[in-house]
Amino acid sequence: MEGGTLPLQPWAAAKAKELTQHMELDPTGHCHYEGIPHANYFPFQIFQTPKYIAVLYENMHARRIIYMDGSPHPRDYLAWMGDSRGHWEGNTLVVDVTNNNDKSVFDMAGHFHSDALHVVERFTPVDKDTINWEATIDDPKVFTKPWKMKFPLKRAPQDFEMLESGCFEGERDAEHLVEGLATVPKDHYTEKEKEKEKQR
Amino acid sequence: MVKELKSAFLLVAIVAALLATSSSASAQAIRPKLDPSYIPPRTPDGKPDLQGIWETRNAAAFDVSEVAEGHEIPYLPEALDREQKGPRVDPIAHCKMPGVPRITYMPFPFQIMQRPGYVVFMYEYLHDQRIIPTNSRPHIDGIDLWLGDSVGHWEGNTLVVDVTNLDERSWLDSARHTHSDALHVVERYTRTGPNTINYEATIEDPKTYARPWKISMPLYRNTEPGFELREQECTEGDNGRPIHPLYRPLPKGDPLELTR
Repeated sequence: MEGGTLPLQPWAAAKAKELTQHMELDPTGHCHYEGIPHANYFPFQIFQTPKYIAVLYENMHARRIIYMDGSPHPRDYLAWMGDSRGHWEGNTLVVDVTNNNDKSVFDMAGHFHSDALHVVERFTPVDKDTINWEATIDDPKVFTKPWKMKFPLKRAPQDFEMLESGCFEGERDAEHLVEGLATVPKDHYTEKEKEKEKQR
Repeated sequence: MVKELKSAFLLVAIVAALLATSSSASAQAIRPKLDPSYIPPRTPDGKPDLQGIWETRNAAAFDVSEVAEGHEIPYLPEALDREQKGPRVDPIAHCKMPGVPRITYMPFPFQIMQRPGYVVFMYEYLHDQRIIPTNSRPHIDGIDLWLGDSVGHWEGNTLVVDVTNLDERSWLDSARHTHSDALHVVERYTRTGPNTINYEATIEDPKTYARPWKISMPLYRNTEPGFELREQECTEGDNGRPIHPLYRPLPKGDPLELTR
């Protein structure tokens, strides 16, 4: 990322620190989607038509369809992968990602966002095997200002095929799956704190 | 073949589903006829154009014998015996992928996309996807997948998909029709009109069935203006649409106990 430090609001910095102590709450550990930008750190395949661009990710068999027809974001819907609408600016694909839920995370280092997350991605091909990817991340509930991240995407070898990533294999977390609980029980942190207090 | 369903939950769900689909059941009675004179539109690379959002309108997800030729599945006695002793919780209740052909007739829409050399199936259910190369490459070796390994080719106006490497744990429906790791499915997708595809699958599994058997059903195009696939996370079942009764979370308690 640009600048090296996320411009977290003080409360968010404290929560992020706390989250690093609770890897068991990582939503990807519960087989949830990574969300955008997190999903882009893994292999994916792009299929393009004039009206939409489908991005199929190997990890967690995630997927998103970037609509290119100028249609607006839906108003009644939040999703792990958000809602992607794109347009072309010269050679650059610009994707506006909104409708994100507040459950996906940026990484495994406790960096999280709210449902106010707004990501603008820019995909620019620079040679036949490289796309420069950059994103502006804005979330006024969590960060003090928008920030930017970028990395190059390299084309996979010609004979590379993505395999199935099921995730729900031999899971020992049936409680969460069957109950339909999202990821983090609401009182999880307070309960943990109480336990620690008792131990002291 | 209709099997005894021991789960009250499943029975309730099926009755509810049949009631909910009763209006489309009459539509299904008027099956689109295979019109040999119908010429499907073509993609720029000259292949029949199957693109769009499609859905089934039947109860095959609950009992696949509904759409089987002769309404019968030719089980081997030993396979029935194996099934009786096997797991009793539908794998999809634990968010496993439904397998092929079940993914086709799950009561959720799916989108077909075509690019030169590929046909891509994007299913709303569980955000499942199949990237099918149409180069007739050999099947992969040494690994089984929930959705198997799909390789396609074109026969006239028909997309033929050969599916192997299917995980033996998937079921064909909620009525616990099972198969083994020898399952081999050949799917055939043929456009029969502007808004219909005829879907046919031959199901072969010498460890489970006495002979190959066939299912067939029409796929209907979703013609609702502005309709788009949404995100369907198994653990939440909430994509802004009503949740199908079968996929509501189970009540509290040991899921194994609930289905005994």
